[in-house]
Amino acid sequence: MQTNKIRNFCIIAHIDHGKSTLADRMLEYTNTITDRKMQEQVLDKMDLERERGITIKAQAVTINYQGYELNLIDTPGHVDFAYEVSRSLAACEGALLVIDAAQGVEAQTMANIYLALEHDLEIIPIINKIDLPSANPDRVKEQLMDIGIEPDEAILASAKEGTNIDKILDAVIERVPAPYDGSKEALRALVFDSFYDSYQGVIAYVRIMNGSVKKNDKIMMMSNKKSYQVDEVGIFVPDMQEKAELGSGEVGYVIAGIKDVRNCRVGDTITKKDNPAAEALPGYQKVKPMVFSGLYPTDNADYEVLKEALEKLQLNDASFTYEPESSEALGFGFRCGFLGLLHMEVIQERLEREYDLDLVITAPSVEYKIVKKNGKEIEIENPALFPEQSEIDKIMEPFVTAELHMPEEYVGQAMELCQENRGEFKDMQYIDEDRVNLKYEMPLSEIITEFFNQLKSRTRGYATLDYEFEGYKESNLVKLDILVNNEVVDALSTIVHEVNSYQHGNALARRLKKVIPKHMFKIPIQAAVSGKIIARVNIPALRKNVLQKCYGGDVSRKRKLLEKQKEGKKRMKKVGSVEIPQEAFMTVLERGEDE
Amino acid sequence: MKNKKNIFKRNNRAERKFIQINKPFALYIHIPFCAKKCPYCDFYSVKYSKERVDQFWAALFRELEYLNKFVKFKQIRSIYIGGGTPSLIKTDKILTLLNKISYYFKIPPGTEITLEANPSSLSREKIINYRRIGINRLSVGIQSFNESFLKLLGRQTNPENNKKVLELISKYFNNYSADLIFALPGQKIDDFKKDLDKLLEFNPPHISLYNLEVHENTVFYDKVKSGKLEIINEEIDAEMYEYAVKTLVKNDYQHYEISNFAKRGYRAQHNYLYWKYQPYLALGPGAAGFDGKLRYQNINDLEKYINTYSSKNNNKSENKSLNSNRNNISPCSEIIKLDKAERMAEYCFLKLRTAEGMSYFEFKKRFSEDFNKIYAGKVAVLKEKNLLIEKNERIYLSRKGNLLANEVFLQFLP
Repeated sequence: MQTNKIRNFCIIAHIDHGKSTLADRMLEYTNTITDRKMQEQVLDKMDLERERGITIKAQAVTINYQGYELNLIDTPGHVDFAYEVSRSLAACEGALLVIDAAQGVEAQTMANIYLALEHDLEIIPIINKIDLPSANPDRVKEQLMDIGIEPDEAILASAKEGTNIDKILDAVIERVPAPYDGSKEALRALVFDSFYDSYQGVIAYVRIMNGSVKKNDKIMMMSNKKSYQVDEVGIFVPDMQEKAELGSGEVGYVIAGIKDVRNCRVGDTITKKDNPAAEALPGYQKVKPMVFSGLYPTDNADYEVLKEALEKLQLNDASFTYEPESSEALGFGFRCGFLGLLHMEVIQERLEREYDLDLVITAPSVEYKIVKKNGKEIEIENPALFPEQSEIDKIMEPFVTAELHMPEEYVGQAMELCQENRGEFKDMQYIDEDRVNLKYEMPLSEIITEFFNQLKSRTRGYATLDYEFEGYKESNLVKLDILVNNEVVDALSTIVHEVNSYQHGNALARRLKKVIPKHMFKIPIQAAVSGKIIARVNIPALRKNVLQKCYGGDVSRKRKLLEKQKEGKKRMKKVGSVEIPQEAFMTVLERGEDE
Repeated sequence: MKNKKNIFKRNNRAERKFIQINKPFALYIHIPFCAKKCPYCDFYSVKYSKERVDQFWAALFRELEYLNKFVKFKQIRSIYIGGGTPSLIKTDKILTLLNKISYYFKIPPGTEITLEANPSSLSREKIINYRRIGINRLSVGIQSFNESFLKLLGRQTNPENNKKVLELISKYFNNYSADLIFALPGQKIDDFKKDLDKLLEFNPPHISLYNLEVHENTVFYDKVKSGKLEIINEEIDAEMYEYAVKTLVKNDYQHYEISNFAKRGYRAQHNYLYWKYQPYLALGPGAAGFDGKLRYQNINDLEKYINTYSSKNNNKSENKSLNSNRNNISPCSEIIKLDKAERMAEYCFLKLRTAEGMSYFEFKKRFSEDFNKIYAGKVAVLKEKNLLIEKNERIYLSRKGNLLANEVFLQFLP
């Protein structure tokens, strides 16, 4: 295909503004997919994605329309996957910016615009959902003007009802620039996603920036110089369709017997072994997990099952890491690294759903950098492994820039919440008369607790959040230990700011009192910093647990009730002589209103 | 071929044919009518209507006739007419039922025949009539002598009437039981002491004491969930219970089961059979029976129950084979065939409810298993925790074990 007949574009949008529905309509309109084959939102492939209404992995599809080859790349819709988004954008020349006609510009809209501009993409604004009674396209146009986008270029559409889909397709052809013609140059293919197929190995989603690639070519990954022979190339229509060659400007897939997604990471450049490009495409980063938590099988016998499940999941997800760890309280498990909380939830859900595992999950933590008094620097992502306070010279923790977006009336609440979570105010901007963009610098550890839920509840769901990793900064942090029945439970340890340690310790002890059932003896729960007890509550001994009425008709029912109680106990983790329910390990990160 | 398959399938639904009763048994009859449903009660009942009672009575007779087929040893050990509110039913109707029972089964002289009575539906005449038709024990749901707690419990009675009823009953019946409910929302320990003291003035031969349990599908359950009703503190519940045990023992009552107290010679024989793991047949919607290995639960629905045993169904079946007769009768909502481990567990937790406790010898006689081989480790732990007492080849709940009986029972589950 000649490059002037190719258009590569993506759709960017705030969550729920209708990105996937628009993609579906475009596929339908162009007969890329027939009605019969059409499953709602074809591009979001995982069940989980469909349930949550978000895209977790990037997807691509080639649309043939009026003699043009239009390559649509659907990008992940969550801040956890910001790097993947940036690579998808790098594969495009244009972007459809979808904005909900009723909701208007949101935090992610802004973040997406900045990203698109960074990648020099031609932005085509789409004001979607004009069929809604509450739609207000004029207001959205004003907002666009305020943020420097020509409002007259916006296309009004309703993806749901299929309104103006043709206009959007025409705009893609007319306004998105054709890709650069590098057909005479050495091969450079950008990997913007990859997944593992048990029959064919890794399937790399690529955009050919320069040169071309075909079957039997010897290719090389530019990040690690590993080479492979190409088994197959092709395009997505949306199922995989083999082609003789992928040429400059095209989007498709490469299969080359790669056994591990970690050797074909998002952002890497594929070139030819015999005729390598002089330099790789810019922007390659090995994404690092930002959030860590311990995953333990409730039943220790499931350890091997969990291990196998994690191995399988990692085959498909190079950004997810795990390594074995053990906890005095929880036994053998794994410390897992995730891009963010959503990524963590997705992995957990898949483990529980696809592998039928019952898991105890410890509260998420970030990775701390500690400089010891002896000058050694260590990185710790498990609070239980923190060195003694006396050995520590300084502790550094990851900070992010958080962008919060909300109607003006909630600014006070949002600022208050940021302040409570050690946020440092950076900037405030009005998007229009009543929409405000706030910028805060905050420790990542505060964001991964209940921050998002709290933000939603304090702003009645109106605020949106986006954040970006900033760097490590020194903080005055301490390890907060929890003692249950006078024993430290390692899996309940957390790292908190010294100023908040008393408050956190107290609240955590009280929350644990609520979730740990009464035993036949009194259980003290204490919070301690550096061996000093800072808070204490007692769970009183169980005084009465008896089903007083038990006659002929009650026996079965009572037996079932007892069985349920027994089953419940089985699912708890026994620490010393105390049985601690699974949820206790997650309460660590909750922030109740009582704090 | 096809037909055969169908019959087989349907036969599986005629579940109760598996019941095998080959020794004297207890008989429970559930009368599912109440004038008004109490907000804490989760027993099956519907609003009383004379017409429904007549239909129900006919169905009850047919169920009796049907169950009779599975009983080899046709002798009764006790009869309990519970509910619901059996005292709403006219005494002559009760008599027809007793007559019907005696038509099928032998009722030896002196057999305990209990009827559950609600103070709101009792009169001198009724009490005398009960005596006359052969009822020899009444169980009366007094619950409290406190006006406001009776109101809270939705009882259609008042303290004065409760006292009057107790006076009458004690005049005509030497064997009767009175129930009290304690640990009521807002109840103070003194409130309960007054209730118990008042009851003791009548010196009833048998007393049952229950703390208020809030069950699903009751008005109280919804109220607790929505925060309109607050369950009493466990500490107060325990304190009331311990006070009651102490007081009743002082007043010559034997604490012979977790919630039951009796003067010498007045233990509830019928209930005792439950705790001794003896077989019982049950009639009526929602009633549950047990043959020693199998438990059945009748469906919780009067309409369906009546339909199952309607004369129409019955006539039809008389013209057909025995198989189809059974096919029409499937009033059970649940049949549980207990395996040995489950039976041993039930046996232990039922026996442990009683003051006699669980005898190793009897266990071995029943299950041909050495109790200690199976449970010695668990018993040792429970003894260590002062929940169980072991004496003379028996185990009993300790005083503490009575309060924490569930913690003990759990250990015996398979």
